[in-house]
Amino acid sequence: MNKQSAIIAFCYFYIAGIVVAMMAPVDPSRLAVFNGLTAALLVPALFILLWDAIASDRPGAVSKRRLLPWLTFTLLTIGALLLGYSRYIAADTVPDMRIGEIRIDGDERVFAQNRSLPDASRLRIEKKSPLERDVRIRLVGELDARVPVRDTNGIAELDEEGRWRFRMSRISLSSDIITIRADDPEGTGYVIDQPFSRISGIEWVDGPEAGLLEVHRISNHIGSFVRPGRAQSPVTVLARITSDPRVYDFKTVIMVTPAYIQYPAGGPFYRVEGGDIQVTIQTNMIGYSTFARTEAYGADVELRGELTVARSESNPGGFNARQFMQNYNIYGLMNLFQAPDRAPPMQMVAAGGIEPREGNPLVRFSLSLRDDILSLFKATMPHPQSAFLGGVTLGLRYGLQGVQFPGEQERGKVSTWFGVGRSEAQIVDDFRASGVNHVLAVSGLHVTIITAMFIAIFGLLRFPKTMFVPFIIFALVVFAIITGARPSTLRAVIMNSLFLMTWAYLDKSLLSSVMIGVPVAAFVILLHNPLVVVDPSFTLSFGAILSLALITMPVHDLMSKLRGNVFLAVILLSAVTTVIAIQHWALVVSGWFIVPWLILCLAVCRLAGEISKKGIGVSDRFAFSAMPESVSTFLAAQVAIQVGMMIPLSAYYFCRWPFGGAYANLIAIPLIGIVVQLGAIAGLLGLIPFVGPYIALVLNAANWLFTTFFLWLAHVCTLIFPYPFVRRPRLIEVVVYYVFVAAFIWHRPIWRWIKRVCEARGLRHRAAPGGVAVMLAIAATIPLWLAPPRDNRSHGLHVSVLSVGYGSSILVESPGGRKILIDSGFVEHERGRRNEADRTILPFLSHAGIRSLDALILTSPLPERSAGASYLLDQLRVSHLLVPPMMKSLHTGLSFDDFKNGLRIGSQRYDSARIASMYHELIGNPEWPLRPSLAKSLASRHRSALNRWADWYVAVNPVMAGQALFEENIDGIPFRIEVLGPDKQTPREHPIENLGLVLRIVYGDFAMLLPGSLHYEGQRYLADYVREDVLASSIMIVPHHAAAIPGRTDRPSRADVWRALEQSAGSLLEKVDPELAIVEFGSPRPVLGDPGRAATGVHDITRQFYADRLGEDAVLGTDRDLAIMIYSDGKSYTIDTMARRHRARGGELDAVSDLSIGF
Amino acid sequence: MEKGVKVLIRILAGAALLGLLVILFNRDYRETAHAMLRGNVEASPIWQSNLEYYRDVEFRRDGADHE
Repeated sequence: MNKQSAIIAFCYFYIAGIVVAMMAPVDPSRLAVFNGLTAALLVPALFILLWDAIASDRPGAVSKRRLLPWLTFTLLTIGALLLGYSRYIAADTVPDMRIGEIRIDGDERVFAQNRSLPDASRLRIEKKSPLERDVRIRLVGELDARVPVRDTNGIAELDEEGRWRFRMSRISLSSDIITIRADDPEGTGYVIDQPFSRISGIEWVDGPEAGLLEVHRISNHIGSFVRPGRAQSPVTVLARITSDPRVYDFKTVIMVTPAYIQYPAGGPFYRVEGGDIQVTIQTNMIGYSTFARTEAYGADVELRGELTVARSESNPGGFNARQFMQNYNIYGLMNLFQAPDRAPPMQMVAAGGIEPREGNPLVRFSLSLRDDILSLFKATMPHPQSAFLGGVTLGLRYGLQGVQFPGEQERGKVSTWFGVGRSEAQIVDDFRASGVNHVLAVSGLHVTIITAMFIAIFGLLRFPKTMFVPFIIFALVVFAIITGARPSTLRAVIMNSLFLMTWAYLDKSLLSSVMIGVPVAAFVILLHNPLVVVDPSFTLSFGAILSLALITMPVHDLMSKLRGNVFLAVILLSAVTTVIAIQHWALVVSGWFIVPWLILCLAVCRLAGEISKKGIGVSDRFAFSAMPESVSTFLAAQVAIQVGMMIPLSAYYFCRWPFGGAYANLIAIPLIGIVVQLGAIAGLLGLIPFVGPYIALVLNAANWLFTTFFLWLAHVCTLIFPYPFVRRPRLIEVVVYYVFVAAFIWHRPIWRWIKRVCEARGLRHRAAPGGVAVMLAIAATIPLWLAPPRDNRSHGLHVSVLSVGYGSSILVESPGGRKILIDSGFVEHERGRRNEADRTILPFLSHAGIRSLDALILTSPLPERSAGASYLLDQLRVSHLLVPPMMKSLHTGLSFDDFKNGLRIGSQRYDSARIASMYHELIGNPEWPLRPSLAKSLASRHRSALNRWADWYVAVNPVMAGQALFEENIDGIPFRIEVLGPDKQTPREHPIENLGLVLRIVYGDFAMLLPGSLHYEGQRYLADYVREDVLASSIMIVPHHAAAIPGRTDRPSRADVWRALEQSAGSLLEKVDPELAIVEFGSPRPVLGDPGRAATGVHDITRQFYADRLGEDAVLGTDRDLAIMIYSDGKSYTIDTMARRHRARGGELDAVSDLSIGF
Repeated sequence: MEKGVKVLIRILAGAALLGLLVILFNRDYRETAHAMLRGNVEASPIWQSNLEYYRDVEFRRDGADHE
């Protein structure tokens, strides 16, 4: 074992420890044991290594003994494993501290304290033993209450050394009576409302003869003070700005590290023990400009506002913003609003009353340098190319948000750039879809470019490398700070620094520094913050560098075998496959096409080889290996990146694969090298007094061409290549995939080993090694067969009501295995750019492994129900599209007037913008010819031979009341979806709402009513004319998102709404008689615009109406409870919600009593 | 390293030539060059197109207003 191997093993075992901790975490209270064990293993190992280093030449050196090296290796690796394990647990949870216990034994009730309280503390009593009856006690003690010293303006003060000034006052107090219930299970916690600094004893009120209770101190981590949702009482926070403010057009986002928090308002100030807060301020805040600038970094501030928390994922497989932020130590959010005639909610505080403090000098220098360079970019590069250059050289990718491709901004202006037409995609969307998004995440590519640039500059000046390497490392550190020190940048800076040092001082090769640099960089990053191990920025960055280092050469060797006719055949077949994929992606991923096509490709290659042997065709000099080394290695590296990183990790993280990335990067990667180098040189030379800006102007004028070409490349690739959703692989599938990739990387030593084993075992047959290899390959797949299936839910009916804001999308999975999606969510292009189909429904389906639907049912043409349909149809196999009769004509030639007539609006009052929106989403928007519409999607999925081959044909069928859909009879229990409306007598008022589909899902004794968007008249009609036994349902979706505005006014009174509800929903409820009602609701403003406010008011009243009749707990909503999952076995049913799942794992804190749960 | 130096020199020389051509033929760049010579960068069309982009970052004249 040499030292390099030991270091590499140590780092990888540390990472393995983190992975084990993620999969099987231990209770944080046992961390001390793990820490002790870690020290017991690592200290002797380090001692032995030190001894070896000192006495390496002596006879007793470790390296000269047989067992000691292995002992050291074992101690190091197990120690590293435990270190990783405990480090992750410590970072992921902030456990409460046990400070003592209350023992009840007859008349003796003793409080035994084994730890004193470090500060003003919130306490919790935990029940530790069964109790015969309730215990009622009080805690007695003192509180050292802090009151900030404030100046004449009422702002908290700092002393000259930058410490917050407080007046302390000691208060004797006893808590309210705490009742520990005999009925509650052991382990239940009871939070004490009063904080204490010291506990002097307990005051016994009442209780049993025996029992044991524990007293815990709740951590003052900022995560324990946050509350989810709206309308929290405001808190006061004394904090310091610890990052560069992110300035947008309409807001500024600032990260602060809190020092003290007053919680609740008017309560005591607690010293905060960890966690940062992300603060958002609006432009109308008094003093906004003081904070919306780099100079705000390092300043102390007093904040007052609601302290909330980012939301966890709303739907299975969704984006967990809360976890993402916590990975970067952000545990709280404060959105500060300026109230009229009130002090600003955020105020800067001067140390000692003189001037605001400044942050770390190196950081300030780096940020100031960044602003200097950015100002030069703004002066020498037009927008949006400047935003792109700022993103790739300075890490300012937020500047690209909301920015469209040049020439696409002006409405009505078609085909301005190279005839590519108009799309609504923003530059960041283009980058994502074309697979060049990685250039915006400052990573190894950029750092390597910067490193190479500095090496070349110093080479030009004839400096020796031993002299300039420290300077380059310093420059890289500054670059990392400038670009936000993301994991990918840190990884690259650490690795490049190691590379530079080994190159300058040890004369080691690049590969050896990569082999040690990757694990060391990972170790350093994960030692600081183990939570980023699952962050895409970390994983993708390391995946890329490992792919480049390990897979490129095996791929190169493999491709070097391609020569002559075979090489030509491979090129032609790849080109043909690409063209087919561009034209018909669904065909390429269809088993009916891909299997025969692959067989055909193999046969053609074989034939090409045979022809070559006869000396016919192109010469063998036409070969991959005949290309210049740099070109062939670059091509092999592109394949390596796809195999090692893009295909598995893009699918795993984003459920999508940018097919065009493989091609776009062939140009994008060399191009970005030029763009970044020119940008960096222009930025640095531009700082030279007087002549600098002119040099920057000349260089950036040239760079303007390259940046424009880059943007155009991404845009065109987005328009040409598909960006398909794919099934999200399970973790075990990714692991098995990488086992095969590893087998490919080390196929030569593995093959030699297999042959040796065969020879040693006497297996002399020629096919024996091949047979063993196949058996090993099969063995590698065993974990796939042993792992629990993706869907291990009970057999029966599963209904998932997705949380898609103000909209609807419900997945029905029938007992017979049919997948039926009812409604497709909302898409909005102008105000908020919300696309629920892309953002929520497709990731949810990919996460569930669903790539085809038996049917998509659109219950109404309303945008909140049908606008996402075209996006779904572009990505999913759908056998049937079922629509209400008013939507039967869906073709691209339908005029606006005909469309309107089809809706039977007549003279009824409808918002014309809303009708236009429906037309645009369903038929098409002439102003945006590239925007998807349902009619366009259907036109591409007509009944053609190709579509039938790809299983891409979709049949459109209008359905009416009286039909029964998807009838099944599984184990004697019938399943069907009944259509209850519309029929010929359905009222014609509010036709778009009332002529929509009303469905009822029936499975045995279970039924669920889906009345769609029915308005009050429709609800009344349903109640009056449909039989009670046909309507009766266990669960009912509340019609029209519980927000139907009655009458002709936009602002109905509460009495109007209540009356309308009583006359319609009241009688419907009586007939349906549900046990549970589900409201599909979210902010209606993106959908309805200004009337959204009235809809919210109506919604609150409607919800109250249902809660009054069914009970508060019997009304669930997709806004508060998030996605709602229903399971029925045909007799009864169970309900699960995402909010409940978050609570179960301690994610959402709804009540003070939940405070102790890990966050 | 020698190779890297040559590549860098070529890139810079090529970029300088290309940049001059762009300034010569592109109106916005031409007007920006004029504005720079007049010492009034904020009036140039390029700066104007960037008004909304990081609006807190102003043009800094030879480091005079760093603090």
